[in-house]
Amino acid sequence: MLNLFIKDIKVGAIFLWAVVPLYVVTALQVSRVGAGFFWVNVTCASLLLVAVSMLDWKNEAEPFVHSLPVTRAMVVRARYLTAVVVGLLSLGIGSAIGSARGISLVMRAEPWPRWMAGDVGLAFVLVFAFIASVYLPCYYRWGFGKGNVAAALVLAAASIATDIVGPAVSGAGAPGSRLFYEGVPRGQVTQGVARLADRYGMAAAGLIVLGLAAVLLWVSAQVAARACRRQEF
Amino acid sequence: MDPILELRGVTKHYEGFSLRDVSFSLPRGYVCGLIGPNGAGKTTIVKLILGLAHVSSGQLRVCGDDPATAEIAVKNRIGFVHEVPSFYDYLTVEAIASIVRPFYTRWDQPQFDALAREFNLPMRTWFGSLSRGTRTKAALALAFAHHAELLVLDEPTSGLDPVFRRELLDRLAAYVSDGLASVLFSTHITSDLDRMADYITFIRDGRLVFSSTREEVFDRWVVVRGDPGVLDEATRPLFTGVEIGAHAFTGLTDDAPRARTHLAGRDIVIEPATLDDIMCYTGRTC
Repeated sequence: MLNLFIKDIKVGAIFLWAVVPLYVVTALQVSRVGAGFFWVNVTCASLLLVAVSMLDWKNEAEPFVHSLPVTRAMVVRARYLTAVVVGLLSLGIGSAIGSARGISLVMRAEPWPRWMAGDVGLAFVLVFAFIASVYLPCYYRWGFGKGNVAAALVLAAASIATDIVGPAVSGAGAPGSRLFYEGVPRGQVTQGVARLADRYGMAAAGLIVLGLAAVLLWVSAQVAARACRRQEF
Repeated sequence: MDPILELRGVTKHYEGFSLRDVSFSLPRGYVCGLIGPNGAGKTTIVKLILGLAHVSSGQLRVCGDDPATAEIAVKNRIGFVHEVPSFYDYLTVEAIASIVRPFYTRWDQPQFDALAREFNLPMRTWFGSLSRGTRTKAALALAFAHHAELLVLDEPTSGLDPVFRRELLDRLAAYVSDGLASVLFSTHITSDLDRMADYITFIRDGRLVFSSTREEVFDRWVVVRGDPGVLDEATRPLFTGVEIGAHAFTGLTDDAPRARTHLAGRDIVIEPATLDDIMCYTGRTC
């Protein structure tokens, strides 16, 4: 599995030199307005993940990869490992740029931005884990084209559903409500994680979120491996 | 010794095409030519061997193992060269070799370096910018470098110049000469097989027509040419395929002694069939 992960990194590395600076410039610009910074980071991270799969598809490299002495499950697990690294890379870029923005604000005697906090970082982990958990099984089930469309539909439906159902159920996350955390990016997950950290402390919230992300990815990897085993090239 | 490759009643269903009940085996130390027209099922067989597609029914064994259950062990012993080798186009041959190397337990770097020099592989050129022939050479170097016990070549010579093609065929003959490795050579350029194949397996419309030693094939299969008047209800069943022209017919039979006996004294010419003849005339009815 490690060799496949290294393969993903080697295959993608050549593009990181082009993609990461673009990513940094975009995030840097968005950090000036703050509010959308979180979601721009999530979008960039997701695009990076899709790009890794696109490289296999564009180069018609899947038969080559699957003709190597590896199992289908190993191919899938390696891609999940790549997704985790992509997530961490994005979190690192986001944290670095957000911190730089925070420091510059503090130096101008302004408060540290609320969107640049540990609970928002945890929310990023959870949101990205969810996106990867939806995207990768779709990719392994339906391939790059149909898989992307299927994943986009599922994610859009999930996003709409949480926005509608979430406030109705918990009353949280709506601006003006008692449970709305000003400065924390809008969304049920971001607001929910902020509430979790507020109620149980950052360490407990961190454990819960990381555990939840790990379970999501593990379950998703099982589904993706099953889908990949059925694939033919 | 167990055959290195064995198919027993292998069936694979696709929408619009089925490979049906294919059985043949390849002993160690031999080259098997897999022939058949386009769409016959050759690539399907290659995919099944490599585990890129799943067998619908039947039994497939590579080095005694089932590729479906012993995926890693089987693939570790197979070298594969596709008609149009596709790796990552923007990587150099050197980078691709560095990716492939750690996967194989018997990777031989000095061997790869020697082959790269011998094949004049431009190691620092993007794979995508290489000619088709050079891509094939790179794929061959990768396949040879891990000492594959079974080389599976899917139309490997179609992009190669005649000089390298001949070199390749000689190299394959040398590769199997130690009696440990075998080559499955899927092609429709049958002249490649005239030189080197020990076994010929002919697939047509998803069905096995025959799988025999080359000598058996050339002993059994003959082409008969003569006046169309020779063809009647008694003689026609002798042929597995017949083409009738304005002044003569050409018939293919897989029972040379019977044809000689039945057609003795008739105005005909009997010639050994080439693999091209067998592919072209099998199933022809007029």
